[in-house]
Amino acid sequence: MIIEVWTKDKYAKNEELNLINKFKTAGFNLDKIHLSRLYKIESDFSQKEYGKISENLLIDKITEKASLKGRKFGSKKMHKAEIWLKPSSTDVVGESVLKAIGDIGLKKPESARYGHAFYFEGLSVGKARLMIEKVLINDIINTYNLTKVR
Amino acid sequence: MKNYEEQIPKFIKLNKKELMALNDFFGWSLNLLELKEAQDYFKKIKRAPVRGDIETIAQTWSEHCKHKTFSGPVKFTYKGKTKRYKNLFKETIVKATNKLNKRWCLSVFSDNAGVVEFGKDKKWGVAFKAETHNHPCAIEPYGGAETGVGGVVRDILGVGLGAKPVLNTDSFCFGRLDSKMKLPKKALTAKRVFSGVVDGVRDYGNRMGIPTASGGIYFDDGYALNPLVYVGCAGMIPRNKIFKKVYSGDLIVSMGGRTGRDGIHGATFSSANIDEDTSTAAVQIGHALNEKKVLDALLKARDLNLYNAVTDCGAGGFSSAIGELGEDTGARVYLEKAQLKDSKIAPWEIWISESQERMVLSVPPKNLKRLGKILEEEDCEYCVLGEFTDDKKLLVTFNDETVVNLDMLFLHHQLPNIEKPAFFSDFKVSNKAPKKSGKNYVKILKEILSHCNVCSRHSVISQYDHEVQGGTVIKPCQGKYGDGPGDAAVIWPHAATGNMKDFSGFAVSHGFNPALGKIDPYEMAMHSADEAVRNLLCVGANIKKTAFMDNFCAASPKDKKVMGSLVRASEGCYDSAMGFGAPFISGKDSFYNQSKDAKGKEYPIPLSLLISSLAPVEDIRRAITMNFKKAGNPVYMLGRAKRGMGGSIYNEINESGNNFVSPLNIKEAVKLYESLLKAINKGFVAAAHDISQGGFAGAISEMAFSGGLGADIDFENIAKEKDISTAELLFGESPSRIIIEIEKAYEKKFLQSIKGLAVKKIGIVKEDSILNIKQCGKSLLKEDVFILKNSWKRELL
Repeated sequence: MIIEVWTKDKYAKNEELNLINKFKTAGFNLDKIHLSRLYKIESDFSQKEYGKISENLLIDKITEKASLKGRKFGSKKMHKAEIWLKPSSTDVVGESVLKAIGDIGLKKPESARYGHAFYFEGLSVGKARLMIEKVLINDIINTYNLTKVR
Repeated sequence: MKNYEEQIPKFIKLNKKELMALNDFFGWSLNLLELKEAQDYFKKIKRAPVRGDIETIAQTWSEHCKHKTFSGPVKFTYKGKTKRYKNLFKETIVKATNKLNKRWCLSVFSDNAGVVEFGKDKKWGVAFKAETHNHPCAIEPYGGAETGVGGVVRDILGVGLGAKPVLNTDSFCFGRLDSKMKLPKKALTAKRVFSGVVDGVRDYGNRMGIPTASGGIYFDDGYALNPLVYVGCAGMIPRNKIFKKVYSGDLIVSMGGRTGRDGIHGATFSSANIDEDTSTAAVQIGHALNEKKVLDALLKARDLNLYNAVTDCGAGGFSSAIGELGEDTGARVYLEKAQLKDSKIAPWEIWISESQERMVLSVPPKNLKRLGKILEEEDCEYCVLGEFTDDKKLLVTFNDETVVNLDMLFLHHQLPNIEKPAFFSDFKVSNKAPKKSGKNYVKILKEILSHCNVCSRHSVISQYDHEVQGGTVIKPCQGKYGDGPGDAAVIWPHAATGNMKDFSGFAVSHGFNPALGKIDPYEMAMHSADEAVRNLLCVGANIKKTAFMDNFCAASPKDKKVMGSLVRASEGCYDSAMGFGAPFISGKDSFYNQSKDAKGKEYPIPLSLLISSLAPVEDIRRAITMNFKKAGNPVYMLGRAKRGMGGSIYNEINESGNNFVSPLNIKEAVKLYESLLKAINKGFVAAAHDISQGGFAGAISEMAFSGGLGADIDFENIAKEKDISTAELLFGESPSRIIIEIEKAYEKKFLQSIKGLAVKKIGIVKEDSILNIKQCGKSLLKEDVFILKNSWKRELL
């Protein structure tokens, strides 16, 4: 199960502006970009229990939202880049989440991994891959996949 | 493809070619002589090695663990004469420390960090150490920087019986951010490395609650493929906890993080050049919160005397930590008891893994229960791996499998060392008058202030928590607006000592100038030491008790010219330590900082020497900062302006045709500095700032805009060398000079105190915001200080 967490629109401006500037200095001009945090939790929890994890552990209810079904956008031109640490890379956030799930009274999952999703539009697939590889990932420790948002 | 695993049992019968092929395949970074020595050992004990044996030898004999280049024999040829060093390090840097024999040096070159005396009651010591983490940062900047900080913090935790970290330092070298250089396919851009490294240092230091308050950033395309990341840490240790001893029968206890496959071969990685095929397993990821738990638990246990010795698990992991602790006793290790992240890990990998946040303790069995309770309270995992023995053997097993079985004597004392050739020839130097630039001096000054090696570091420094622990008295950003470039940080470590009545503190600063090293490595070392001392002095530290740390980074020592420069710089370290009466207390070296460029050609870094320094501040309430304080106060320059534009920022912007490096006159410098120290202690000095990169004009601009005040300066009476040009006066970077602002009320007394010295009045601080520099009444440069500040205030990140 992947729990997706993102900052509510009205609080996300700074986060998004920083990303736009980061891409701009690397030579990629984007008008819009959205960032989500991803938590991949392997366990046989019920939907309700996953809900408890996201509500009680992973989000700040005032500024963030979470979904178990992925984030939805109106635009169909949008790309989604999902970035994860390779299984051989130590995942510090994942380790903390793994332990914290036990601390909130649920059984300890088999694994918990932390990643990011970037949503953007206005780039060809080739250019998007170049941008991801140049700015967002280090292929020594990361893997990624690029998909069209449906 | 050959099955190299099958070759290991045949190790003692392999020929030279086969040995080297095996070595290359497994990434041991051993040379042929070392492989032969290992082969002879196994022949002698009539047994074939297992993989763990050779992995242990490779870790223990790595450049990272044994510093075999610096500590090895060198044949040095210079000006047609040959000099032989049996041990370059001992005959230069350590020699100075031994000769100076300062009683305030409590522990030098024998532990994870150097320790000097601290405090009025002398019950404390300050431990100081700097490390490099260059290779990991080149391939994964964030993780590399994080684990670099984590590693040096553990060095402080592992000095004596453990010190409490109170200050982190960071000094970086990157390729130019505006570089047009074509990079090899896998190389990361300078900007990417820079921001990743800053993020890593910030996240680790901030999360651990240690202020990061001292350092520097240097840009040069020589570092485009091999960035340098120097991370340092200072910590407080009770004087009665400085020494440790492992006893036979003590338990080997590992505490902190679990062991995984991360960081395999990190130590041997430091003995090799980076290439495109660098193994992913060499990358380490840090976990600051785990290390904080280790810190808290360790210091509690230390104060209850629950262990006899401690060291950190750094390069080489358990193999180095247990191997070093058990050197004089022997150790028996049961690896199946290790707490693991990953069950698929092979036993030899557990043994050499460089998983982070682990410390190894030598614990009397009777104390285990109490220690366990403390560790559990702090939520810090631990396991008992075995015990220290009295047979001087290192025996490591995993259930019934023998992983390592070696004699400690062989492991630690039979590293063969080849004499390395070193050659140096003087660089062609011109000391003719600098060519006239077509630009006016204001324009040149603005270009200098906005140069990447001079401009504001605020966007980096402000990311670090330099206030945590509440003891950062003099901060990295200073002045009226809190953004002026400070010379040194001053720490009042009351959070560690618990003594709010003792106002003793210490200052930390750095000297670094690889541009000089390209011309004269000897003078680079001298100037760097001088800059470090001046920086300490500028905050009011007692420079008579300066302790230095050397931190060398160089390209491959197989190149005799690299070795030649290293020898000259080491000789400079010796002379500067003796001249300033400042012993080196610790140090580090990192070689093989070179890799192949886009055309496949070897691309080495310039020889780089960071001299970090530490000195006591007797009363932190009297420490001073660099910004102008009050209109009407007189301005003086300490020291004599000398000829030479070598290595200057001016030369980078306007090639002057003069690349002469003014030699340092230490005797003259020491006299000047001691007189200034007296003046500061008497309260005569309102501000002091050293003249370094950017020259006089750069330094006085920084003092002015950081104070929001102007100044009227006239070079008429300035102490200067004959025939010096105006450009050299304004922008030359000759050493041993400090600009000082004197409290007007004390000017007469100040003048009496500096009688006969090269200290001349050069002007006055003004209320209006204009900096006007004149020569014999004629204005050379006149500009509003806030306009100058705009040039300087570039955001690097």
